[in-house]
Amino acid sequence: MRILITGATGFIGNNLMEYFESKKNIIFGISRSKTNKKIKNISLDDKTKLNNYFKKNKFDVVIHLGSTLNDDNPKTIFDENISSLITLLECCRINKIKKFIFASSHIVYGDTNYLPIDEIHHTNPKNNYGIMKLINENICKMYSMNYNLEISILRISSVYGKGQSEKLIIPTLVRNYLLSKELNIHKYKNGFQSMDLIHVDDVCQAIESTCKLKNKFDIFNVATGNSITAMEIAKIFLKIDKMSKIKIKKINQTTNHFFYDISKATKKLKFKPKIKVTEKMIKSWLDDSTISKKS
Amino acid sequence: MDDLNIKLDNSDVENRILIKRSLLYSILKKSKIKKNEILYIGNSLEDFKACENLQINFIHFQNDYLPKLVNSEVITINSMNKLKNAIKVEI
Repeated sequence: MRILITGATGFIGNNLMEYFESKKNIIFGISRSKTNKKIKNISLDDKTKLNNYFKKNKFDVVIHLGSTLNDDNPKTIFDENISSLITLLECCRINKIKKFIFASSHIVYGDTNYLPIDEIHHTNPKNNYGIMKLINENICKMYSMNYNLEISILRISSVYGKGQSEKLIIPTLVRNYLLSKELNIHKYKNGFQSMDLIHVDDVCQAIESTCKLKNKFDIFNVATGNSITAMEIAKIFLKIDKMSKIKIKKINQTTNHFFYDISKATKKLKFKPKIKVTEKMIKSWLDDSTISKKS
Repeated sequence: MDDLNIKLDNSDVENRILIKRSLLYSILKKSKIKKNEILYIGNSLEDFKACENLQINFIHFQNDYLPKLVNSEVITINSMNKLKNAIKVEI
């Protein structure tokens, strides 16, 4: 398959480029930051340039991972997320692309009404990122219904993996563990937050299955279907080293618990997440870290 | 709660409501029963809140050992005889 990936240098994009390359696909990437032999710096706002790139390379599948967030400027959020999606979809329509995959987010659900959250759970996003994702899902639906594009929406849960932003839960715990700092855990008024953390390799597997799916329009949760709390993760570090110190910080507000029903993806995509947050996985992460453990 | 894999702190009322809603939703989904074909008789605030959210008919059974549910729109009973009458009225 000839596959175009937008947001190719982001966390998921980077992993997906490697994943598809290992499966002997012909991969093309677009990014607004870095470039190399396979990744071009083409603005998604530049329809002429983008369309020429489409004509030249004859993609089978387009995977749209690219998105930006500048909370300070609503016009920029609109231009960089919504206008660019429309330009991309236009290029797909003109060039008769067989399949378009939009990487949405679990954030579109907003407050949890029931668990596990399925794809028909209400959507009520609480932040700009979620609102943009939901608007984009609807634009995709419009293109699928009225302009004959095959589109799949993937509502991806919280992703983890080596090389991701250090602000997120597992990289933070890994860094603090290696620096022999306390493992800070938040406890909310309604307990430790239940989360559905999915490994980036499993996300890649779900995207690959979606590429092969024949459908007009569909929405899938991409998650593990299991919940885990920060406390459970911290206890794994404690298993690895009994000297680790867990510090619980009480937060005087409630948190939103989430984990997802993945039965639709399991049935239609044959999706089965393989990687769990285990002692073995954390140990391998620690071994690969560039920081050496301080005693 | 093993069948739904929910592991929440049961001492928090909001968590208990979320658990109950999830169970109810799961039953509705699996059984494919229409909401208007269900009458839920419950004795707690969690029962009421879960039904209210999922728009399921609810009758409150007041036990002595649980706090009173203050809501004028909810039918409250405290005996099986009253329940029989309440169901007749509902039908």
